[in-house]
Amino acid sequence: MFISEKYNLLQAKSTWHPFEKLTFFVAFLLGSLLTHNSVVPFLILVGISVFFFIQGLTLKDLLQIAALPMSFMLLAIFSIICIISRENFEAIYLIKLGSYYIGFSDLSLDKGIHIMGKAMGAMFAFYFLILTCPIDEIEYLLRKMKLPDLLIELFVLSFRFITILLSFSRQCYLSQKKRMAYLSFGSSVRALGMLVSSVLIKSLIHADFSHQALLNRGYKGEMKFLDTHGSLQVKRLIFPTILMIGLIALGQLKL
Amino acid sequence: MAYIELENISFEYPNQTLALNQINLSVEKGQKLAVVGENGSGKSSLFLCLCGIHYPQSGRYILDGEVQKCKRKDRNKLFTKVGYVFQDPEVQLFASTVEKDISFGAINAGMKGEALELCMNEVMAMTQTRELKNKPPHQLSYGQKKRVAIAGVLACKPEVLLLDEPFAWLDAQQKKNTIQILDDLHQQEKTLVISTHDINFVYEWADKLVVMKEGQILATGHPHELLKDEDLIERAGLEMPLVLQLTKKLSLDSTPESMAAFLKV
Repeated sequence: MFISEKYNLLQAKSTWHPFEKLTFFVAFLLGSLLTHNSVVPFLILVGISVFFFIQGLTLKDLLQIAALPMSFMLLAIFSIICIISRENFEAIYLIKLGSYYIGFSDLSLDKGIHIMGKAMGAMFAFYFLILTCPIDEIEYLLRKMKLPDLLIELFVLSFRFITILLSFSRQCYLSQKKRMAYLSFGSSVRALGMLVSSVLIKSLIHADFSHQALLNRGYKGEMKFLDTHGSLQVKRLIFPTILMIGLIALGQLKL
Repeated sequence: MAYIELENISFEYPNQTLALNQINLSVEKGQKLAVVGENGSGKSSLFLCLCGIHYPQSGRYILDGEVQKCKRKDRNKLFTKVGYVFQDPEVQLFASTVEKDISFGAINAGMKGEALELCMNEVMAMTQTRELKNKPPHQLSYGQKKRVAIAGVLACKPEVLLLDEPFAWLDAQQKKNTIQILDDLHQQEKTLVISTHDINFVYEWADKLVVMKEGQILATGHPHELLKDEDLIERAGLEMPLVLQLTKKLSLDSTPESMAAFLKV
């Protein structure tokens, strides 16, 4: 199941127009990326988390969602904070390993925290968008932003068919596992190869049938759907726009 | 002239499998036709030719008095006349929500505004898919997917509806719902053509039965007559409907037309 569907409590925000949600997303994203201090990302982080909690997300859910990207981010930040040198340097914490000095300085720590803040803010902005917009609203936004039809159709079809392939792969894997296919390294590699090839064959056959089904419903190279979103009231964009300007302005201050 | 006329239709796949061999068939408007036969007997290939996805290499296909030239332009016109519901709904549903998926065919058929809204409402009411309209297709149960797949084809307003194994993998309740949809469509005088292995259903439901084997039609006629023919049933690899088996076993004088009628006897 996709993350946006698992926590679909937030998608109840269907009274908001997709462009309103997008403007909030852009406000949070630009606020995070254009800042010169760590206060703005912190405010964005707290603000979005509070919004999530009000909408019914628990702290456990939030930590689960953030765990994977956070772990990558912490590894990356560690490499920025940590300094390895042959020469001694002014540091908050320093250890000597052989002929090398390993530690972190004021400057590297500040830099690490600043980058981490920016990345976390941008990540939460992204979560705000995907947790409040169901997939058809994302598709609507892409269409309205005049992205090439080919890309949008690829996005729609990938989203739809990846679930089928995942479910098929899961069934195949279980069927192999029940027949002791993954007992040794050699048999695992062989079984995995067979799994990949059967998924590929399945996807080719499925693509063929799907093309036939599309033709049968009048597909002529362009996918047109019902537009279920009403017109956007410009006044609904005033608050997110002011928020965007405020966050960018606050981010320019040296705090 | 019948609504659908097939004259000596033959179709061969690129791998030289002869799927249809000299098929002759006529279907009247509003008829309930069932096509039965073993797996690989050519039922699906016949449907693909009828809806214009496959072009027969020889023979004539006449629909509503018009000879189908089997060109891409004709196929684009054909989809508003002949709709095909695939056996596996997974291949048919592709949009991000149920409502968008159903609207796809209707928009391609040229509907917009009020006409589109009317059509969507009518189709969703008939197939009981209104409450599913904002859901993505992969969150639906198999029976729901099947109903959405039927709704998506009905939205094109076809006169003829081809259904490939409409009851495959459905539970008893979902099967009843599907039969209800078929009955509603029959009342609207739509021509219904189904392929199925459910011989008991065919016996009770169909006006006309086509028995196929190895790409050929073995017999055509009313199911009450054809399904009494033990030799035909043996040759086609079918089985006798339960009502007929019981009637024979109990040596009843009359042959009931359905299981309900049998239970009354």
